[in-house]
Amino acid sequence: MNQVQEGFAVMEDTLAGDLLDRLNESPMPGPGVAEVSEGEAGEILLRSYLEVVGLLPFELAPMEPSPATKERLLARLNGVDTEGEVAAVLPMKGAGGWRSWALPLAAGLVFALVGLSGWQRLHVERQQVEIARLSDHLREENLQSAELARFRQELGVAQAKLAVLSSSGVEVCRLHPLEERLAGTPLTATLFVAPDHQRWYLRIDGLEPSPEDRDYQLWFTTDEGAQVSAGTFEPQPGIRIELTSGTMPGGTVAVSVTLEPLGGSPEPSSPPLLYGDEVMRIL
Amino acid sequence: MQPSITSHNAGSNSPTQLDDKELMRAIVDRRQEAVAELYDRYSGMLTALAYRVLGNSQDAEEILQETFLQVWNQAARYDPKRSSVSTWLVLIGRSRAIDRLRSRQVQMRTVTAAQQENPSSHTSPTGVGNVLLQERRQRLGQEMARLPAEQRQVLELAFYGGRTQSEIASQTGIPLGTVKTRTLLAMKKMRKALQEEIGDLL
Repeated sequence: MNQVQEGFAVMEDTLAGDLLDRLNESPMPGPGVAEVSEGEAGEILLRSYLEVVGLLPFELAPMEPSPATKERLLARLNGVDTEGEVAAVLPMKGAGGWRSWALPLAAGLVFALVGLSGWQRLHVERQQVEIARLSDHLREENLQSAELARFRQELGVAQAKLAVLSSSGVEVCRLHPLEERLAGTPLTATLFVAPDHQRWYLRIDGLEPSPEDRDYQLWFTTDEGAQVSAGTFEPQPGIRIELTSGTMPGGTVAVSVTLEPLGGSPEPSSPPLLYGDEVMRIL
Repeated sequence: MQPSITSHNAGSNSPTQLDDKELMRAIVDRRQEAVAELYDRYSGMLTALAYRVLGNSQDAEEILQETFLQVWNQAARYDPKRSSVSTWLVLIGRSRAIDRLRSRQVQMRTVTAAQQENPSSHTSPTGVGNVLLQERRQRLGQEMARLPAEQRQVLELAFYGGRTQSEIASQTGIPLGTVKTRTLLAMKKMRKALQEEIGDLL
């Protein structure tokens, strides 16, 4: 696998692994999620995985809804509530005497009242539809904004990795376990450094979780012997550790990982568990 | 003059018929018959989806109605560059169903019930368009069946149950890392297996 492919794979893992989680977080996720895709590769990936999700329910046996559901829907599109339609009031046959004027008058009143009631109901229904529409719109706007910000941040990280991995002249440094107990484990750690010697991406697989009272801490060693902390991290079982940054100390000649007290130390207080100083340049 | 809206052959390129995207444009133009046509194409699938999530026919039909009302009200927001129409519909319908499911707070029970129940309202659609939809259904069924059971489980819990990977881990007792790995593998396999279908939708 070349660097571009590897970078693409990293981005794919990020997008595909978490897409359903993100869809579960947002009630109206589709356009919002897709909106964050920047760059052609990310956009194509995101689109294709969204389509995978969109295809999933086609496995289900279709269920025909009742005809009334469609009728109600079309009526609501018109702003008409079919249940509120006025039934016709028919004049009585053979009515005489006072009925000849009283019944038509009563019927007229009923018509008027029912008509007024129907008009009010229609008006209320239209208002409700409009309120629901505006509420949906507002809710979607708010959620999409938050979702967008989160996804932009994560995509930014993925793109930073891709930029490092796919840059021409990237340097690769493998970190080796120094403790005997780690030697036989499937632990692998690789640092990728962009040609500007600033942007870097570290990937670690198979590192066991740290003890409860300890954190793993990453260090860069400079050519003057200084140990500069690059931060602490905490692995979770089965999850790849991915660290990236846009800065690296000048004159870095080695990288190491130690176990430190919670929150990290100003300088290493224990021997390195992982260490690397052999750099391979990939053209 | 606008083209007429006729019954749909899914995947057809016939110029006398509107495809899904053309229907969306017609809906933006406030043509109700376009909603009716879109409804005819996808109501069966969307009702089944909502039923699978909620385990209740009445709720499923209400979700169906809400979905198409949202389509009517927000048609202008649909962007064909971001997803196919059917995927947009699925995402709207699913999120509404999941919302209702969460509001009930009986997630596990309803999902289990939906899996076990075999409602009598299931239909076998006819017509050319539905034949194509049936083919898609068979294909999806085959690919889902090919997934290892543990991968299918996490995919179904996430998609139909609306659970996050952390929730799946805590509910099933499977380590979070394992859940994430299974989800990722399932998604990748489905993408690879469905390349042709995805290509048709893009």
